[in-house]
Amino acid sequence: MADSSHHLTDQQLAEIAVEGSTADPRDMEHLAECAPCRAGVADLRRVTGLLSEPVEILAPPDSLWSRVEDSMRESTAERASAPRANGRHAARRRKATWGAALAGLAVGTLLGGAAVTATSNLRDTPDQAPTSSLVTVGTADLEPIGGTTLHGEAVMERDQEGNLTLNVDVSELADDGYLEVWLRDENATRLVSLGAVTSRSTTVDVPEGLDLDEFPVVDVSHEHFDGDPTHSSETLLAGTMESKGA
Amino acid sequence: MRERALDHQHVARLFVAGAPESLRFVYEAHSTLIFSLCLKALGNYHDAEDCTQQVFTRAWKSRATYDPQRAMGAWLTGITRRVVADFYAAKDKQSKVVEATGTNTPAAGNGLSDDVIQRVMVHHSLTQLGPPQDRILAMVYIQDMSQRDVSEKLGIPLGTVKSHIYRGLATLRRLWEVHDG
Repeated sequence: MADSSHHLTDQQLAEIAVEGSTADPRDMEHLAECAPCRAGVADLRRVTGLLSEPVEILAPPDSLWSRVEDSMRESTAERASAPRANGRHAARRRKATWGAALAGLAVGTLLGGAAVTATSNLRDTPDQAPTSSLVTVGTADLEPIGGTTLHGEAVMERDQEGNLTLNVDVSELADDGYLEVWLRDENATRLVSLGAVTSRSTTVDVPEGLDLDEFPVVDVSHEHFDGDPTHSSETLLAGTMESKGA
Repeated sequence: MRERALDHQHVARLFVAGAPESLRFVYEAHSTLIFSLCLKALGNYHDAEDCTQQVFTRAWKSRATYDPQRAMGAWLTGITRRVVADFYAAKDKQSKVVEATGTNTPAAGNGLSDDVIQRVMVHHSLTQLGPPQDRILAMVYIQDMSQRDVSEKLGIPLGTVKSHIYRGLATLRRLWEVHDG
């Protein structure tokens, strides 16, 4: 048992809270000198006091989850399709950058271990001036998976504040259900959803703080309106982000 | 317990990153606590369901403000407090016309007091303790049975009953402090 120089264990504190003391007088000597242990006893007495005032603990009905999920989907869809807050010309700027990206800027090294945010894309052509606030940090060719005829490309851009967006272009949309874009690791064991692909060119926000080295693959999946927020395991397109060298 | 904590951290990171599947885990882990808080504050199932839905919707919308180092339960409880306050504010507005006629004083205590939140949290934690500690603590503190009666009724030695009580209380205190901090 603890001597007077060591703090009492949680169970000794609980014993004192319940019984008033422990069998070992040294515990009480310690308690007399130790404010943190006395506070612990006071907390435990508070817990027993709260326990003796019963209150109903009930799980919500199962149907509530689908309501929560619906409102989550609504807010995510709003966010994905809303224009970027940092400028009404954002869409135009994006297109210009997309054009520049396609116009043969050399594709850099495989993203792999390279930090996406550390790269930049310095353009020297004067007609790119209006696009200078958005920097292309990576691109991915999206290859068809599982025999679809779909194809697409993804461009990741960073604005002056450091916010990342991913622009996804796909050749067609799903006839049934919808497409959802994810960032994932190579093995598809870890995924982060970025949102629904609502048009042939969709721009979604990339969450701040997401480690892109951990999620280098852009994945477009075929989802159904089944209320299941997880990946359907039906990947239509996938491609690894390749960083844009300066 | 430790493994669960790690899981929660993983879920918390996915949640902040906006992975939709993470909300399901957050909901499953905390919806009973939030619904019970709403039920206690509002007194009926219908309003409690509406407010619980709002809590998780607001949580999802403001997920960027959540610090994964903090207890998710405490963060959600803070949101619940505001949702309940807004609910009463809206109701108050609706009934202003009626109240203008006089006698009805709106209760200042509408909403969730710290005391009510702590009671709900401790009783919610009790449901998560697992047997036989949950049952023993309920018999002693809710049904007000003596330790000796519990020992006889369950056929468990008195010393074992005592140590279940001490360990159970120690766990409840830790859970309570996590929520509180």
